[in-house]
Amino acid sequence: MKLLAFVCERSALRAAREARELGAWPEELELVAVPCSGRIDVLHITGALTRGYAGVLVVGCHEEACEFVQGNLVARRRVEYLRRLLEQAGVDPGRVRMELASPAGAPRLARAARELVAEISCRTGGKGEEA
Amino acid sequence: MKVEVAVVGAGPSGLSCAAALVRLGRKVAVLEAAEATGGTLRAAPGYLAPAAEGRTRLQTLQAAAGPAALLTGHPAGSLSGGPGAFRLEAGNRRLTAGAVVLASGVRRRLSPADHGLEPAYNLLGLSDMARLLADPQASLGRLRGRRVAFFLDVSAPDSLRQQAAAMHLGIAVRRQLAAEVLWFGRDLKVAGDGLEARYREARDLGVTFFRDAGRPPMLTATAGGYRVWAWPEEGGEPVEVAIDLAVLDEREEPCLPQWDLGPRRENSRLGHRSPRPGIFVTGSLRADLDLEGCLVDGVAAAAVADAFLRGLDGLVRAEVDAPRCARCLTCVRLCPHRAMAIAWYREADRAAAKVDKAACRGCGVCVAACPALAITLTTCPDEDIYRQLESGGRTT
Repeated sequence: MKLLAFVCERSALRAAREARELGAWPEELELVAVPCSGRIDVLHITGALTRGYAGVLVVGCHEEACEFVQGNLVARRRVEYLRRLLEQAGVDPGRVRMELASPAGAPRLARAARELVAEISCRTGGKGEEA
Repeated sequence: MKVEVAVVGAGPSGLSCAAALVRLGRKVAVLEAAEATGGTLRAAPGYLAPAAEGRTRLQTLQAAAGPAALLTGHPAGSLSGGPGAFRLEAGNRRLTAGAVVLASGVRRRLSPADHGLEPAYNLLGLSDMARLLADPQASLGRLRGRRVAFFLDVSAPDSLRQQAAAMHLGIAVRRQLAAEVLWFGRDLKVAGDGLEARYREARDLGVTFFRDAGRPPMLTATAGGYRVWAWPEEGGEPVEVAIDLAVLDEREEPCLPQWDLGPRRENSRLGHRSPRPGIFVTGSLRADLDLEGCLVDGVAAAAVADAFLRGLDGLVRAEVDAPRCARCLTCVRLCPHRAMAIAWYREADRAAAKVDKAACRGCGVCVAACPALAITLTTCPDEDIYRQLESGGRTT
């Protein structure tokens, strides 16, 4: 099973790297760096799901910390919208999740990442799922 | 013909934009309605710069824009399609372009009514004067020793371009025709490129400058000339002068093709983006720019159009390569959105210009002006994201 995290270069990428150095980052979770989480749209996430990723985590900056003013809020709206769509389409909306992180928030981000991995592996029986 | 960018207009800004796009590795076509490139630089030499300098500038520009397809005698016709695949008709040619840059400039029209005058043979517009001075057939000899006056800030108040033009032309008239030159304006701007020196030169040559103190000069037609009353001092007595030829500032109308560009935005003078995605605006069409301003503006528009083609997305921002930055403060001074400041870069361990991403609108002004070539417009195209997705994410 593999999962994917879209991380914002300003905050989450640094936090994720740090978590990886500390060994707290789950192996299954791969990183795709974008300039701002607001860059991620619904198609990128569904693109990841159709490419065989079992779950997608979008990580943006904390509110009011976004360098592009409201990229993180845009991303959150998109993720919520996509979760509703997935639910209507009969796909488990729990496979897509949004997190906010600060560059220094490695432990917290790592915990959220491990939670997501655990939850999804629990739901899919550790095998992952083709969308 | 299929190109990445179609530039409409081969004036100074259009040519400089095309040259910059060629440098960025883009395939470019330049459409020009006239039979030769150069726009104002060719049609009215001496208007944007002193005639000889204008000719050299034009040659340099033409050489730099050489690799682009120059389609002269092809006025831009109808436009259809959208960003990424605009379909453009130009004369007998059909073009497909990813983006379009409008550099068609302005049309200048003399409007004597603004000055309370009737059209007459001894009333000329600034660009007419430039044209006549460059034309060896024009018999300007009878102006020798006469009095020529330039009137500014009436039809187009505070136009830097027209003030610069009047300065270049005033000097040319004084030199070529040995005529007496008077200059009437509200205020004199010497902010343009090299204008301070030109102003001194004009003063040394004996050009008389009148600055009106709140009250514009008054003109009355007499037999064979005009009588001018000017008030150089507030509440003071008027100065009365008789002149033989009046050169007036002109109205400038945007020279736009018949395209639907969408609703006009309020501060359309700042950005290079038109309301319609994929169409960009540059040069004198966009703002009141002198020659140097037009050349820089063309490069900025090229950077914006290039970033657009790379991303097709609104997340375009300037980015500074910190080790390359010369810390000259050019970008800090020029940024119209106050998005530039000097800040410390921890990774590079030095101070350099830094972009406030929240304020940056991706206009490309700093990219064009940076002497150290340290600024680029960045974006994150879809292909980048999918490539990362397919290669199993980032390993770093």
